Amino acid sequence: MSAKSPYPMTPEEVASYRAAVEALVAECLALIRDYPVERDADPVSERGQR
Amino acid sequence: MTQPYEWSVAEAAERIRDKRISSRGYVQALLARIRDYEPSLHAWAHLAGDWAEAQASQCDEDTVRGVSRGPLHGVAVAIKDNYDVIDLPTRGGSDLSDDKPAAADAVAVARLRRAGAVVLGKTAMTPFAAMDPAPTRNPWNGDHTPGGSSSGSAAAVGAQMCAAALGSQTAGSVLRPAAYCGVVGLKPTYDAVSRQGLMACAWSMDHVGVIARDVDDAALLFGVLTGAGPADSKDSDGQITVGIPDRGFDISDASDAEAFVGAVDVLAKAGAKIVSVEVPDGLQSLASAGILVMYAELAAFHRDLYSRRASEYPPRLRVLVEAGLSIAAPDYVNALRVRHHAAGELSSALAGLTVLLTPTTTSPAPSRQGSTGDWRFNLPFSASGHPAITLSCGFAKNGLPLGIQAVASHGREDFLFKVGRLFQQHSDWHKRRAPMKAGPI
Repeated sequence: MSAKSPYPMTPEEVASYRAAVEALVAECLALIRDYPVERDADPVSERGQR
Repeated sequence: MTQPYEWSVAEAAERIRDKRISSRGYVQALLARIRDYEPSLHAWAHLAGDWAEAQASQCDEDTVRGVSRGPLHGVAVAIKDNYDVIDLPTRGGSDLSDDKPAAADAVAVARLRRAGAVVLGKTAMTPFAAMDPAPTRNPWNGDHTPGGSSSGSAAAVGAQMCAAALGSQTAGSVLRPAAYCGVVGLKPTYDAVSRQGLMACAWSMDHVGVIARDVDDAALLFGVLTGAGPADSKDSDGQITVGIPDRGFDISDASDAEAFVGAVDVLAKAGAKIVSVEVPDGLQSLASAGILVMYAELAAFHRDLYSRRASEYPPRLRVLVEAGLSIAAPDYVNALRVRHHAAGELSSALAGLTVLLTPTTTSPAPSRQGSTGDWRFNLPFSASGHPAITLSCGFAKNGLPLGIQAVASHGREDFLFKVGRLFQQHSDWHKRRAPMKAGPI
């Protein structure tokens, strides 16, 4: 089987897909950047999980 | 009288053990079915018919000598094309991969074969387990996707070409295609089954998975894959508590949501306690972190090959590799930290439950033109590593299967099997079969 998809995309479809993926990545980055960075080298978030 | 292709793994194993059929006879019956339907289904990347018959003959010779190799003695299975199978190439759904035959079986494949399984061949998958569709069609309706990336494994089991197959899941690649094809899909706890010999997609989220037609077979194969034997419930008499999330798992079409409501009702009438569960605030963060980790690790896997052969990459994978390459190292590290934290919140929410129950997918299988469907209901549990199973629970108004997803605490696959068995004892959705017709679907 070819590496190429049996359902090729037009340049417009690729551009649309790229825009959607980039928007998703930007949204995910924004969300995780809201998480507080903990000063402690043994973060509260990880205590009790080991 | 039932046909061999209709038998579950357990039924086939019993008949072969009792010498009511030889393994070779069983394998030949499956190969005949594959010959009938493969021209229209495209479930296989490499069918190893002659080798399968030779493996089956060796099982039969052992049977004559009174030797049983294990619980899968003589039963044929399919292997997704991203697992190493000795002497066969591991292409991962792409001819960008090395064509060199594997020198040894992947650990998961070796455990199946050591238990007596016969390998029929390798199943089709999306290239490198990403988003570009495989050529495979959905056995229930050929105009629709079987899902991905374990497209061929789910379609082959759904079309009764084999009773079980290996799949793998990084986001939703076992549960989603299994639900779309009306069969059972199991993603065990992260690390419960060795990934040695499985081609990576995103290392920290890749899971070995099983596709079968009923819960008993999924449990049987899980026991073989872990080397722990039959995975029976550790506390089979306990009250079953099923949590229903209060938000975040809405099906796109309200009429299709009735199947999920009906499934909850089946479990309630069978004695399960149903409770509403407040979805942890961190679930969205878990999904977001999982997406970033997945794209970054995927890009790390492809960086060298992509730098040399980008123009040969399929279009969606190309976009995903470039998106992953754009994620900075501090963001990747932060995503890992957030994932760890949010997974802990989810573990706390699961602690008082037997399972959390959700629809498996946002909709039934969409059109196969350009999509393998939406993995958003599965991804959080791939990111957290919690075990999950999908069970067929009815049909959408367009006649395509729908599934329920049960999720349990780490290491509690026995809870999934307990709830799954209860559901299948009180419903018959898992006995429905795709209306296959010879020739084009």
